Amino acid sequence: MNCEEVQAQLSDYLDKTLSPANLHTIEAHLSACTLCRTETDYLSECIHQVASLPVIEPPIGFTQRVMARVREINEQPSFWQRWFFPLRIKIPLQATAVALVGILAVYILQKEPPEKSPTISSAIVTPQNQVTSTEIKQKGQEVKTDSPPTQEKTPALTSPQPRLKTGQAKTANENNGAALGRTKSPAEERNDASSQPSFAPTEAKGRGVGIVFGTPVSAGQGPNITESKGGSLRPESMTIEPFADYEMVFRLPNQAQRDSAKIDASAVMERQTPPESLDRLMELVAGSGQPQTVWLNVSKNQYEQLKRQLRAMGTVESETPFPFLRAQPGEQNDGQLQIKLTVLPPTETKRVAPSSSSDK
Amino acid sequence: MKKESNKAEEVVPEAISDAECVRRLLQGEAEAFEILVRRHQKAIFNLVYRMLGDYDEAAEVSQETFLSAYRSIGQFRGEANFSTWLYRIAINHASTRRRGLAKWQQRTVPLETTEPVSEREPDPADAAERKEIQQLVQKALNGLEASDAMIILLKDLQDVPYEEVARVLDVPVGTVKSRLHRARKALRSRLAPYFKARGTRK
Repeated sequence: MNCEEVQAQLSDYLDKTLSPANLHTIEAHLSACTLCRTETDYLSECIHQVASLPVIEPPIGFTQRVMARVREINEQPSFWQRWFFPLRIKIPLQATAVALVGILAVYILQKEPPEKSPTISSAIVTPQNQVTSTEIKQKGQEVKTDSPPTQEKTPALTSPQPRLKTGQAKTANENNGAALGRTKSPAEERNDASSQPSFAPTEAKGRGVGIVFGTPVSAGQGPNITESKGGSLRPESMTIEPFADYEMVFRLPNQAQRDSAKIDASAVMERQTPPESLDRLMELVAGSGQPQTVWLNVSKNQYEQLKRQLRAMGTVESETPFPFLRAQPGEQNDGQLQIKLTVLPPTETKRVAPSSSSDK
Repeated sequence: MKKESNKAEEVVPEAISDAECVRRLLQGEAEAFEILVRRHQKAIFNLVYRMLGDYDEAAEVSQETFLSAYRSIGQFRGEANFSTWLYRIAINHASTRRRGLAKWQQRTVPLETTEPVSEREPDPADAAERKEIQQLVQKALNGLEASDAMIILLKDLQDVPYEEVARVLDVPVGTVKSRLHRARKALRSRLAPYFKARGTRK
């Protein structure tokens, strides 16, 4: 057996897998051949070195990591699992989301979009929403009409900024509250809110502090009215009013003047303006003692007629143009004017004055 | 025993055989796989580590190995040992990763041996020498063909019997022997400079 043949079997020799006969032959050769012996030593050293490589510990937590992945694979998240999997995270998250959506929904439902009303052409219409009028009547019970409107009228007329007026109105109201020495609970806030319209022109012009506005109420063919609702808990900034080119504050005549005014009014009434609709609005205001805000859509040339009409029925206390506020130019600009009309009860109409709120 | 098993990963309930674990696993008892992982992780990790010469890569590839095994446990047929089957998966993963590493290595620095703290070394000088040798061996392994390195590691590092190596590689035992011999010679020639410098140790 030559060196090459021997070296070919060295691995087997070292692994001791040779047959006894072969083993004997190899050993005989190795004892004689230095070269093969050296080669054997080298190979043996190699095997030894590899075998004596230290055993390396796998990373700590290896099994746990593998098993965590295994569970991930196992729980191939189903639809529901994906939604709810870590319950402690996702349930509160989803509950919060649901709550937020609920709150949002309540907000949205409370105020139906008032933007619709201006687009429907009309003159004046009586609010036909029975619920609303009932509501108003109920509120009428709690209204504290203790502020002489004339006092507030001046700021309302002079100040061009609705917000400022609102502030003033609020101040007035808070003074009231302060005078009564009460802390405002949310419930009382609501009362305040509903009572604010009694600070007539001011609140009526304010951006939704006291008055809540605008649910468009369709009244049959054409005529449309956006009616105010009372008692919003929403913060001022949350309210959205329909756009108005003019804000008018109109006060009903007192009972004595009323009949004649009515007659005058019917004399000037345009034929397309159902007189009874205005009347019904006026009656509602007079009946509840609470201001009403309506949004009217009239053509430009009818505006003067409307004013005349109103003057015939009572007093136009203020008229404020807001030509610069038109948010969407062109949309409602085709000769139509959007008028926010606040109808106030007569100065000395019967008022429901809860004993606690009298301010003297 | 129960408490220990929570702490030390090496503690494996030996009473349950691999085959039993696989059977349970196939019945949907995923936790049986944990026994298999605990039992084989060290062998797989060391094999892969020596194939790649990089600790983090080895950890990743080892994990992939077990996860592949878990996913394809349905394909495991009882005729082979679970360990054989696992080795095969590990070798496939490690070879693939090694090719990727080799490409990456060509463009960057040579594959460095990141040797973790070696086990109890009484003599610091001896320890340093041993560490040096280990690094040389690792470098030599890194330089070998993947198939050569693999067969050396299976046989000489893991001490897997020829028959099982043959099953892992799916070749006859004779082929294993000849391949092993060729691989050892390749390793020897890589380590020859070291042997010559230091003289053979008998």
